[in-house]
Amino acid sequence: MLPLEVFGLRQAPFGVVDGRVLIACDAKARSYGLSPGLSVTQACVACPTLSLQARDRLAEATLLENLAVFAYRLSPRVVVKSAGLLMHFTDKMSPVGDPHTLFSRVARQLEDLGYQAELAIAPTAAAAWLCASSGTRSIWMAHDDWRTALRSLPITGLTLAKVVHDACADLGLSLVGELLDLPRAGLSRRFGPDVVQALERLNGERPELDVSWVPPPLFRRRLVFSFAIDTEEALLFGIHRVVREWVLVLRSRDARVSQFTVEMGCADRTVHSERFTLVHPERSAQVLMRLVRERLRDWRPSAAITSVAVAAPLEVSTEGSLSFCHEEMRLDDGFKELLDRLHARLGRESVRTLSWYPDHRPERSALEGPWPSQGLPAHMPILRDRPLWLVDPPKPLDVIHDTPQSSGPLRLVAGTERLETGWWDGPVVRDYFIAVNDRNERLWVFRSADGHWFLQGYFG
Amino acid sequence: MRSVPVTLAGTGVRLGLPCAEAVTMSTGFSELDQRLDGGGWPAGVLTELRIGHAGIGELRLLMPVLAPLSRKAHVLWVAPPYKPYAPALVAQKMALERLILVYPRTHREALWAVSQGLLSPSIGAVVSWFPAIREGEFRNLQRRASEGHHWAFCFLPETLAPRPSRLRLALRPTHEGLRIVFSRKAKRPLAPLVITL
Repeated sequence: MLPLEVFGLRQAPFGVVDGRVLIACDAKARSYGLSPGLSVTQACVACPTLSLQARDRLAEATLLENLAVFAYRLSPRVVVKSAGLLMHFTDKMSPVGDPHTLFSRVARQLEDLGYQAELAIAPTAAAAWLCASSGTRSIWMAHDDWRTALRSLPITGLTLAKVVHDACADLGLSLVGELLDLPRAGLSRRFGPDVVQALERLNGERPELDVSWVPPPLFRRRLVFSFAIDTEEALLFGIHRVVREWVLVLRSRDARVSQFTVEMGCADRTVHSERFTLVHPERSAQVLMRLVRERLRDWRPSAAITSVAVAAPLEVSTEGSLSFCHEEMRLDDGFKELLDRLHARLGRESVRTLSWYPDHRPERSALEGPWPSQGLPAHMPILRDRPLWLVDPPKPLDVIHDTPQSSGPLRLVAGTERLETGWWDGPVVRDYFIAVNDRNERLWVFRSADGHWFLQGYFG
Repeated sequence: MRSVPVTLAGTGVRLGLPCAEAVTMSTGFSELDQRLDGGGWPAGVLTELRIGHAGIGELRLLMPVLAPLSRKAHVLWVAPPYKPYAPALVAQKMALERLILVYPRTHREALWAVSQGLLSPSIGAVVSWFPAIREGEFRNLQRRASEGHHWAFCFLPETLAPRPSRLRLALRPTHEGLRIVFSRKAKRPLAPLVITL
């Protein structure tokens, strides 16, 4: 899918070529009997009207990067793979709700952005990946019999070395179940330990350690048209598609933009570039498109346009949108004056604001930084039963006769709430309780997996 | 002096405007409103709150006023004793982007920061924590509060000698809830109150 999706407007039937092999084609091309793996010559014979493009790996990487930004709004941890994305969710406290809502929401938003994607949810990342690459739109939860279901999927969906896939084909193995049934020791001897480890990760018998994605400070997106464009509407349509994606990125970072560049590549290899500077930082697609449209009104391209690109630094800005409310602006100006005075006398480090990072460990999720804030996520989970004061780092508590102490013995009045996290950087399991001490103070305490007690907060 | 009660949903919360009448805002606790003149926390008054130690429900007592104010103006906290925990504040409907935390390095800086906040028209409320404060310093802040006309709350240790405040509440956690003992300048004494947060 990915090699196909990077080409903006596609003239069906359409295919993408890597070397001499067709690696992806659209539905129309499939109806001619084309499928990935055919040679270019075969494909052109079967379907003479086929339009072809060479694979654009750079555009694929950029697209994935931008989809990662989109995914990051929903999931605390995103992994970028060569042909797609993994989003990690825990059972508890998903910002979106149950997996079915999540699934339809992701599907709908991707559709709105103009992409077709294969989606799957499964208890392990490898299983979800397998389901998605096999094209089965499945939602498997831990209590389902998902391990059995995986057995009937083709081996080709597994992320294995090419030699392994070839060897499986030679052995006549085509389904995952057949591979799983082979003795592990023999598999390991024959193909090396990687294959066995991959199967164990698939079944959830081994932790999955993928490098998680970190958001970049720059938005850059290039849309290549598979045929040259010579009408203004078609150009604006292309730009609009990029801008919509960009606005999602801005929203996910709570950022606005105060400058950006739009570049149009023409068929005669010239690049026309327009630079925009805004007085009021903005993130409304409508306003941004209006600016672009105004600017391009009098521009006549020297040749047909083949690509369009938008680049903008992702500044974190707490500035408001274009506001016509004078009262608010007056208050805002007053606030800036106050901030300037506070900064001047106390230093920037002394004037702080709260932000939030999606991590289940409270001391990692609650961030405090200099003004302006690093931006709050759009979907901050609203958690009940959380203390207003956080003790950071958690303070170890003495234990006398198995009872944790803090100004006297603690009485546990509510709990357990288990917070689990960190399959990526060392698992952390904590059992949280609300406790009351002799002074009638309410405390938020937890017991770590090794049985030690810590004070994490006060119900201030 | 006439009292003008201001409802939370109303548009009557005026910020930084010189106003001869006492503006109050409901505390969010009806029993407490009944005890206070004007039926709520007064603006332009440095309300003194006495606590034995932080973490007894003192913030939850103020949240019903701080949260709506944070949606209209900025809220300044000077020298909070612990790190405020964002998810709990959001659950209390606080607008996080409007909450400014100030960590002064010295007592003088703290006094200065509070008075700056009390005078700035962009601020809706100033909450401050002091381990100690001299009578003259307190009077100064009190004067700034009445000039700026914001909601102002000052947490002081319960062991400190009384300060010349117009409204002082001593807070103490009990088994049933937060026990509040009132003292008002030149007014008849009020019976203590226990509220559940």
